[in-house]
Amino acid sequence: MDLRYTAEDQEFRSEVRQWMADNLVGEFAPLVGVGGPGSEHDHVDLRLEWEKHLGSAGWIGVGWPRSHGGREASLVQQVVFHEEYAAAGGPARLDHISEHLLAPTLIAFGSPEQCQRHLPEIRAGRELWCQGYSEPGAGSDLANISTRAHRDGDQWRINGQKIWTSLAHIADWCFVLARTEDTDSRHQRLSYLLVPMRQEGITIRPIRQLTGTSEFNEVFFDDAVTDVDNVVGEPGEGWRVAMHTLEVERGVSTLDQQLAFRGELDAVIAAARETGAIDDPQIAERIERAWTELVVLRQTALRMLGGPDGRTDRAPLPGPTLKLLWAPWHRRLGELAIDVLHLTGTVADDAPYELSRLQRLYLYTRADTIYGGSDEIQRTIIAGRGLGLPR
Amino acid sequence: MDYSLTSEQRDLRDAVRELVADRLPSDRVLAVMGESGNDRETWDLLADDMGLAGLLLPESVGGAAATHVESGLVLRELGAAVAPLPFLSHTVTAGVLARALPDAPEHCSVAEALTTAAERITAGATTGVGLDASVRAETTGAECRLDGVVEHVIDGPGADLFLLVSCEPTTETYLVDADQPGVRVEPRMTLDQTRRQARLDLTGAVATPVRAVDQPIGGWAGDLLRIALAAESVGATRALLALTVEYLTVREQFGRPIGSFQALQHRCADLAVAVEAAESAVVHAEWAASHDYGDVPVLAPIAAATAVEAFRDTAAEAIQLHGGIGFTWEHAAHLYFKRAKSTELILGGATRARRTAARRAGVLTG
Repeated sequence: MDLRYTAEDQEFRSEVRQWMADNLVGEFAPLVGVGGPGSEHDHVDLRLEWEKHLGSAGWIGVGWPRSHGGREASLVQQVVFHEEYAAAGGPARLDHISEHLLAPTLIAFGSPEQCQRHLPEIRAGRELWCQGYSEPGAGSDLANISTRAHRDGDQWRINGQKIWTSLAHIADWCFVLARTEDTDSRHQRLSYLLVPMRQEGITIRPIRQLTGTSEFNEVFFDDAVTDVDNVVGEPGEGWRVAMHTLEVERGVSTLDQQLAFRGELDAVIAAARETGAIDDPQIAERIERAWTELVVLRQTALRMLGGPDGRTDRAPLPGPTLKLLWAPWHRRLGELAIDVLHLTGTVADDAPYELSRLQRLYLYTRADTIYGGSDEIQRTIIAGRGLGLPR
Repeated sequence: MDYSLTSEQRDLRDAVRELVADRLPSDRVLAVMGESGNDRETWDLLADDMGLAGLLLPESVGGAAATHVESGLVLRELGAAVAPLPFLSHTVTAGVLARALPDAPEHCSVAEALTTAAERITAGATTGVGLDASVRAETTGAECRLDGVVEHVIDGPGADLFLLVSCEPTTETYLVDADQPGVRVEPRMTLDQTRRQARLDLTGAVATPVRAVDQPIGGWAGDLLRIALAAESVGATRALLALTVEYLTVREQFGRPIGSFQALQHRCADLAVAVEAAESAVVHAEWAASHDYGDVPVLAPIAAATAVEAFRDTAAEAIQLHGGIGFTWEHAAHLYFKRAKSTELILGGATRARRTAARRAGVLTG
């Protein structure tokens, strides 16, 4: 057991820190601290440029295998990258889905052609993806999807609707879980399709959230098409492939999110000082708890994402465990954030509905315990797969 | 970063686990705690036969020079059985001595006294620990004598040595030999009968002051106690959760195992998450205590807060999820429940521990 950073890790840290200091300046200076919860639409065009800039410097796909253009950065190094990125105030990323969800799925299940076609473009920051999973009738019960795709010559023809699709309006491609087979099993009917977004058969409608902003969208497929080769794995294998993406979503990719949390907590503490709420013992206690739990959240992520450490025979489930730690934590932070504002929390900064950062944090964090697998689903997964409790 | 246990560490853990499974099943714990509260025979096996008495102490006094990672593994296994053994005080005292010994100036009477104490501990001498000891010290030349009453000495009854930490006017740590006229030991019955306490009455008791160069050793003793209790709590929590899950799997009502009811599943899932968080906090604190002292003042109280809440919540749920039998003397649930609450009270509660950590890290003051 050795919890020290190696010399290589320290060098890597210096490298990232230096690059951020040299590059988050000039034309990109307006991006510092931009794009957090409830502000996903801020400076999108400049952030698209920033993705290409990160890509050209080799900072996308650092965790990918070298055979697919990555640096094979260790888990620790990926943590270090996220820490230094967050410390420098790097803007919220737009390539999260592309780099951390779709790319690992292609690496695991994609054909050489698919990898060759998409991975270099994702690495360059030139290709963005959105995720076509949930539907109005299929949220927690993802297998209940009804979007259909049928073979039509050398194409798939897709009809249906996806919902809660982040970044659909700027994405180039979408990976779509669709029903393609006619077998008996619910799961065995599904296929994982890769679909270009900019086509006549796809319509995007933003969903207005309770924050007043629209991060999520509905995506309608009306005879949308994609080449017959744009299926990952075999037709009918889509469930297995989709599950892999979900597991990745709940793993290492949550790290950059967690690291922004310290900045938010600092903002809450600063606000508490300004309003005097910090002198209220109950507020002080909540701050101390939030801070302690954030330390432990990071410790738990580091320990569990490194794989089983031999301290228990039980199946460790880092994804569900970490989601059940960070999502409720973040929601409580949102509650604390608005509580320290006192009456100021009841008024908006400006018409029509300009809310402050802390107000947006309060509203937006309601979603954290719902998306990416609700808290209720995560508990059921831990109970069944982790503890072995009977169905 | 590598969190995995070495094969030696796994062997150590497995050996203690086997010993405890063999000698301290819960009905035996119930029997022992109704008598002396201290299973001397098992202690001798652990301390002498397995050589764990000297785990933390340097080789110069016959110790194994192991770290808090190793002692943490032992603590977890003992915690899992709510073992009526004085290993907790032992490991805190040994940890304090291990820190003080290298810095004690050579060839002085204090160094000699500390070395002698360390050698006795390596040979299996037992200790009792009393923090918040309000005693008055009188130092004449090389001799230090204590007067006062220490209400709560953990593992005090039958101990050969006492480690006392007083905080007024400054933090001072003392080693006191039990076998001397100036020391009167009054055993106290405890809520958690597996961990007894004693009241000490000191009248001109000869004491050896314990100091380390770089930080008040009293703070170190307090933090070692936090880490040790946290480690023990994690072991207890894991064992109790497994016991409870097992029960939910076999107990049937309404034609199905009650573990298939979602409400109970979800509550168990929350406990499973809490114990992983606690484990993570304790692992980091143990590592810091073994390699990088600087972080310990913050990481120790964080580990304590996290572990004690996970333990207390699991112990409470264990009684509830076992239904009526969880409320009986015969069932092991109350052993954990009482150990969890006593641990919480000894630590001063999770809220205060978080406050201590946050204060030391300057969270509110910036």
